[in-house]
Amino acid sequence: MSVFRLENVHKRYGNGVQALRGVSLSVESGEMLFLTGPSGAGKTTLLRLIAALERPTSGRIEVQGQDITRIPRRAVPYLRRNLGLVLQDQRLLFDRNVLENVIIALAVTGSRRGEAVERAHAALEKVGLRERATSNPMALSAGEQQRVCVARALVARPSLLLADEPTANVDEANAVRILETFRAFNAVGVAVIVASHDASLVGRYGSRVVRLDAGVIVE
Amino acid sequence: MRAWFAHHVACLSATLRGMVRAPFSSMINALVIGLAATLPLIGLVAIENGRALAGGVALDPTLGVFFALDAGKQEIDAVESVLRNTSGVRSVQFIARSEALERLRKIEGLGDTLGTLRSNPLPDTLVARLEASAIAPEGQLAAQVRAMPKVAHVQLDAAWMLRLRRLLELGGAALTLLSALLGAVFVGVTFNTVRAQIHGQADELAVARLVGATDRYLRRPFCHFGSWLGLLGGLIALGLTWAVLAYLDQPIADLAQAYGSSFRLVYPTLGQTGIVVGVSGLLGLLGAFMAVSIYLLINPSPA
Repeated sequence: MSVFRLENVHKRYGNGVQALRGVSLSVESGEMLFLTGPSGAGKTTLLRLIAALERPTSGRIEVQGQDITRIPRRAVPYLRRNLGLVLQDQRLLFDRNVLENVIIALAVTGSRRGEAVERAHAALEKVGLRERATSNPMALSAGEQQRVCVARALVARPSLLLADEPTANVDEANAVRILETFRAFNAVGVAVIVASHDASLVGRYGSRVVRLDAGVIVE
Repeated sequence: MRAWFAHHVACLSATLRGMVRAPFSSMINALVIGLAATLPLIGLVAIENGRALAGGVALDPTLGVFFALDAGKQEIDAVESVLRNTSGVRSVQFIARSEALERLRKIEGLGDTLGTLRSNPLPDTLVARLEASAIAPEGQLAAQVRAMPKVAHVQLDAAWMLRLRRLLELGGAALTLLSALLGAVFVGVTFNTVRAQIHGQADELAVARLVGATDRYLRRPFCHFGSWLGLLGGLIALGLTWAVLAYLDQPIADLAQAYGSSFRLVYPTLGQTGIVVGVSGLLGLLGAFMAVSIYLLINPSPA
């Protein structure tokens, strides 16, 4: 069963930039896929379309059996609750500690506080930051902050994880750690899509690789 | 339902904690709102007191019908019948000319003077007491009676009552306008306060949206904050109004006593107090709801 499917998707921004040109792609449940390509290839746009952060200019995008190009805006939050998002521009909240940053993903779904705390601790454990739960994110390194984002993306047990350049701005050890975390979740059935321009890192894993260039799948 | 309730409890707790953490700014905001609400509230209380004063000293408007000296029982009965069959006429009293003269004689100093008269110059009279609420039609009634046979003069003693009533009505209308304007100010102040708070939490809103927060979820804490701000403002307005009344109570009582009245200021009732606090909370809620809704409209959730 496919977790998502894109059919002939085009995306043209208001400034005239054609980010995607007729992209068709399908990812099965439990699959791990790497999106690679140079800057401006359309990797981020592709992920944002799947996460319903953008709407395509044309084409069809089906996520977990739902045509998300047709769902009303008010249904989008419920779709996002089933997705784990690790985006380049996502923010941590510096007015609360690491644990609370992770809990927010459960709070919006109405989870009980006790259960949310337990699950957030477990997610932080998985990314190796349990002992930093009460720290302020500002006190963490860039790599650790990125891992907090990963924990936040995974704490709600999504069926699909979308990560946009999760290893950018982190050292190699942290990059490997983040990708290993993704693999661990993938091993228990979570479909993982990672956009990365770091070909050497991508090559270490035997997962499917889709290469984009100028908005077109070239490989 | 459980999650909805739990979130409301969490929002309530967070709002109160926030107010306790920043008592100065919370109180300043509530004070501004309270001051905005105080003026119409004092106006309302003043109108209520005006009504009470009018009610306390007001005699019912009366219609005096004076007959020609040669008027007979038939003409008098005809007028009395018209008066008694008119709605809004509380009572009709006939004062015979002989009785009127007798009453005059009892007034000290007049007896001797009246004794010099060769005949009774006073007319038969009908005195109709009208209901205060039925002032409008009495003008027509006076005209109708005036046109009847053997009616020499009709005197309507309601002009001052009408003026007072019109003044109170005008005051009420002005108060309604003032309340509407200051209600808008109330909403505006809450709107602005909540808007500033939203901008301070823009990152939190963005992250919450990213992980699946609905607009309703995002709106809730701000609506709680606005409601509480409104409630506090309402309580402050009530407190100030109470203080003003307490300050003026004795001087006004003294003044009333000097005029032979036992009038005392009327304080807002429990029901009015509840309405003021409730409306304040609702206006605060409205201001907050508008602030968040406009923010969410201007910054729509991606896609």
